[in-house]
Amino acid sequence: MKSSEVRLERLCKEYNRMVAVDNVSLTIEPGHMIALLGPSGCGKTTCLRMIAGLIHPTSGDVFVNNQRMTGVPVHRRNVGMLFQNYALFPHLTVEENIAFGLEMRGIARAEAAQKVASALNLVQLSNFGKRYPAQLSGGQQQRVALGRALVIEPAMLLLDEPLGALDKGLRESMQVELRALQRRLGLTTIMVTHDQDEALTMADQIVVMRDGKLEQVGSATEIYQRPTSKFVAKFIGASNLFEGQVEQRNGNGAIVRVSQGLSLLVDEVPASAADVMVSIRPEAIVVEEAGQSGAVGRPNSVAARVDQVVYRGFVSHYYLKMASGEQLIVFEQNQSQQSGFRYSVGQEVVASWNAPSNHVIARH
Amino acid sequence: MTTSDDAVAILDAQPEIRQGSRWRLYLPAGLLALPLLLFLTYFFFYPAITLLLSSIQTQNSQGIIGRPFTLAHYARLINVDLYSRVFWNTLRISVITSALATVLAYPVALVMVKSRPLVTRIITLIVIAPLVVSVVVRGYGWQLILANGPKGMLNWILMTLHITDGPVSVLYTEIAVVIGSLHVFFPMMVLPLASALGKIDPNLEDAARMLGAPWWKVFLRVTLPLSMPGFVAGFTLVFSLTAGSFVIPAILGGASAIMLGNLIEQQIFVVYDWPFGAAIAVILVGVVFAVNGFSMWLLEGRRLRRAS
Amino acid sequence: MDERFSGLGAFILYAITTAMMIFILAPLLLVMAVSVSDSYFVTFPPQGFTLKWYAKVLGDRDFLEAMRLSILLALGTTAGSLLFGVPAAFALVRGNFVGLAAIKGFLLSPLIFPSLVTGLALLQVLTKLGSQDARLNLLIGHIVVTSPYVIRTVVTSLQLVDENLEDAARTLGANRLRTFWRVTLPQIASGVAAGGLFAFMVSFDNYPVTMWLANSEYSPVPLVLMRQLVNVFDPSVPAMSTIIILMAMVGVLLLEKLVGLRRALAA
Repeated sequence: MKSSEVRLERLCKEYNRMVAVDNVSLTIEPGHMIALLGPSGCGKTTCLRMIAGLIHPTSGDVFVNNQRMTGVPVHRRNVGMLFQNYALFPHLTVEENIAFGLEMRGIARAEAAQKVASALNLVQLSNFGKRYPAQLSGGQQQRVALGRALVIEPAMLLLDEPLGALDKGLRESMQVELRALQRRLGLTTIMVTHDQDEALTMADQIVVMRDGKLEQVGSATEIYQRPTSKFVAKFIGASNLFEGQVEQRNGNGAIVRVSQGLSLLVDEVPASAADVMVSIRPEAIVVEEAGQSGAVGRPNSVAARVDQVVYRGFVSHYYLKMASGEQLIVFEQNQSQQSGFRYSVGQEVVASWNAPSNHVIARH
Repeated sequence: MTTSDDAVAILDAQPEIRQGSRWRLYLPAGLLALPLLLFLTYFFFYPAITLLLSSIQTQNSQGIIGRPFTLAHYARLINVDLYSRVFWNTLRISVITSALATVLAYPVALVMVKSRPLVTRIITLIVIAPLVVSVVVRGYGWQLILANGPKGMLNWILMTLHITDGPVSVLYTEIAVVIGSLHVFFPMMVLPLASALGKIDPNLEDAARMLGAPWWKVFLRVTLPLSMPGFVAGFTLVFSLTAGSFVIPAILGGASAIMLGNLIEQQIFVVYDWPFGAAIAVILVGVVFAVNGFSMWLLEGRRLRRAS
Repeated sequence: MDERFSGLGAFILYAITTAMMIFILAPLLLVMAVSVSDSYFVTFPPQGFTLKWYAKVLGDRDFLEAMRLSILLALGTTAGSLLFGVPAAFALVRGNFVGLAAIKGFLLSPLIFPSLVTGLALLQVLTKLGSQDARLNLLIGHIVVTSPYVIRTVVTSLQLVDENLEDAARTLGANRLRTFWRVTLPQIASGVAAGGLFAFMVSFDNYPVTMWLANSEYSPVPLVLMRQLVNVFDPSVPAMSTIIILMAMVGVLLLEKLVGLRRALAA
């Protein structure tokens, strides 16, 4: 399969003077899978539909392999699309659904039948060809939709919250399967999701969107470990955010003073910054009993009291209250042999973490 | 998802889209309304305006309608006792029919909504089936029932059961017209009511009962207010249709219960007075529009109040 | 009836409902009963049993001619109102243009306009145009009054169609026209059929428009029946009426099969 490069150039969409997509430029490498991630109303679905040609941009262009797609109607763009509710034609059988795109392309019946059979095989539904969509489970319907989208040998695959309607276990296994299939086919894929786990699991690149604009583009680890804005830090995973002043510079690093009891040793601070925001992931923090910690008084540590404990299976969430009154969230993996929590509500503790866990977000 | 090799093979082929006909349908969807829009403009809107205009014009002895403009036809309708009585007859019959339909339709609609599916189906079928039977046939049926003299079914029953000594005279009175209109337009009240009642969350009625309301209070305080949209829609429909009817008063009303529709027909086909016939028609449309406008205003007001 | 309705309330409800069912059915049943009465005048109670009045009606040239005209007219009206109404309904649901609400109101307005007046107004204009063919005039008048029914039923069923289905068809390579034929139309088929059946029945029974536009040569069934009612007093009139009732019942059962009556009418 030929992989396509998809490029968005200054893409804008306005509805009655409301800006839904604002000047989005983005290049998707051939064979990559990217996820447009953001809260509802951030413009991610509008973006996807403009790539499909279902919505016309107010300005800007979509290029596929350097060909300008503006003015090319949907049915000539050769895109495979999965919809949130599958959008299977209820009046057609599974086979007829899959054959639909082939029929539109005028492919001879015998050849089409062979392709349909292969596609059914690909999505493991060979025995279900004569059934109607209503007779299938959600996961099976999803596979039919996938087969229908792939059989036309699309230039790219577009996924609009494709797994949103499945229950958790099925969703997770489908994520892995879909990702494996996409890799093997080398099919350029763009998905829209509001589920950060889905984006982290599946995408080579994550595009975080907010209010119609690109907020950050990067790999899963980049986005998670080096968020460039407070929005991204809070939207992807959980973060403890501290505002402080740069005090002692030391090469690239510095000490950032947050409050009386807390200063942070940071490895990398932008040269010109005086006020910065620092994010610390909750799982990077270690909690010890107040008397037993040697970390007291040093940077990257703080005394606190346990405010609330939440058991979440393989982790426990500790909500600590620092002397300043601010909250600190800590995730700690549970040990299988251990029963109960290591710390109880009201207990005085010391929280500490390593300097590399401090990530500076340029302040807006 | 395990993939067999041939499955990958089909996906490896070069994508190709058939370059079909150059002809593309690029019309905005809105244009599809254009044919009907033009048709109705020419055969509905334009005739209505023409009728309105001829109601304020004068007809000469050759039957040609033209200037001068005049309101004399309207004045005649108001001033001539014979005609104004027909106007009030029409209003009275329409109001009584709609009111009776409301009172009788509530129980039917309630049973229709709250019953087992089979009962609901049967009632629905009985309510709706006559709707598609010609009004002439239904009027005729009532003529047979109400016929004056001992040969009418009603009189036969009354006299056989010795409820009355002699035949009663119902046919060719306003009562007969009301009965006939009620029969013809009853479904128009039941259906909107049933649809409004069906939309009421049964939990609301349960909640009212648990708060101590007896069934009739539940109806008055919960069911009735929430079914108002259905009532308003039904009342408006029944009123409009009754006011504009011709067949039922012609068959059941005789000379004593003439309505506006019959008056229009007389003026056009018997007297050939087009402007006066048109003026009566305009009055009829005015009454119907006023009632429809009022009900829309009521429903709109309710919606606004709820939204705020 | 569930436990919400019990005791006196339920009794009153049932009593009124039963009474109304009798009220609704009585005139129709009576007409049917009298139609087989072996007497020379329509009387109550009916006497004996005979089918000779049906034989008379089915041998009546005027009635058969009227039947033929009515059926052809209703078929033409159905075709016409579907041809005008289905695309218009599509425009109203899928379109996105200024004044959509106003246009929808206009297209549905023949429903609230007294059809008696619609017919009169149309007669005046058609006379002015010199349109002499009663059949054509009737067809035009009937399409005016039936097209809103088609629009209502089709709009309702179109609103239930998932737009993603159309989008999916288009990404799979179908243009708008093929999308409509292959995907949209099958979804709304029962709505279209119901609208068409409605148009047929409304046209077949229509009196208030028909009375203006028909002439002595071309009189549809309701007009012929009305004339008979005044002039003929033997049971051939109830026999004629019974035939019409039975035809209507077939229509109703078809409608119930197609979409379910409540949905069709509450649209």
